Amino acid sequence: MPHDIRKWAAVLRGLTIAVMVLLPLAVVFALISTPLTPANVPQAINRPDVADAATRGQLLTVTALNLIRPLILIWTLNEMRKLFDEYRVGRVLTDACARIIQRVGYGFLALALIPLVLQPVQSVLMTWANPAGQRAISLSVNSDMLFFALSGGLIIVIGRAMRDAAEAAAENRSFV
Amino acid sequence: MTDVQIIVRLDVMLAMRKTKSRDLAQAVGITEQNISLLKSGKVKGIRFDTLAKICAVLDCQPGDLLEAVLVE
Repeated sequence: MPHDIRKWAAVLRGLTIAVMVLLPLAVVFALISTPLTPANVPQAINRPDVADAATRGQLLTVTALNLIRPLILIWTLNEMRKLFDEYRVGRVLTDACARIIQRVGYGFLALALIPLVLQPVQSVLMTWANPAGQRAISLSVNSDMLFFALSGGLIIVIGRAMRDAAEAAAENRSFV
Repeated sequence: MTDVQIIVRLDVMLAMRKTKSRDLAQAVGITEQNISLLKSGKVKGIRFDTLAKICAVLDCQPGDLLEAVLVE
């Protein structure tokens, strides 16, 4: 296996671990430093019409739902770390690596799709206390979501192709 | 269709040529472990260049090393 792959895998593994440590710290810092008020929540969920009468329970629920995306991101980063770990020790064309690549793809896809589910739920929760007629349910698709969805799909397909390649490599290894 | 299995007769050929596995492995350029796997038939296949080298060292034909036998 080329030395370059091992070297880059080691570097990327280090960076991935650093992000895996910094990301939760940033989330915790944001949670601690931002008071949980109806005025602060709209920025987090991109909704300008949050009811001033929103209860603390509603605010907490919306904030908790906002944590799902960072959790998926950390899970995806951990899968990437596992992949770089495998590459670092010279295991490249293996079924295990191919399956990890596919899981990274599923992570990207989940990052794209989760706002589609969360945004309507959060918008309903945060406008529920508004008078009738001012309650809302919102759903939007942006370029980031499309990019993550397409990237996720691409990575899943690459992972599937890598499984075929790993199978061929394993068969080749059993030839004398 | 009748099932046919390929049997490796390398051990027979080695005995006929009075050649040790270690010497063959060295001459062919593969590990002794691979020669052992080949003798026991525990490999999925053999590369043409490996087969050619074995034939050259043992002065034989591929047919002397491989045999197709009917499986019950």
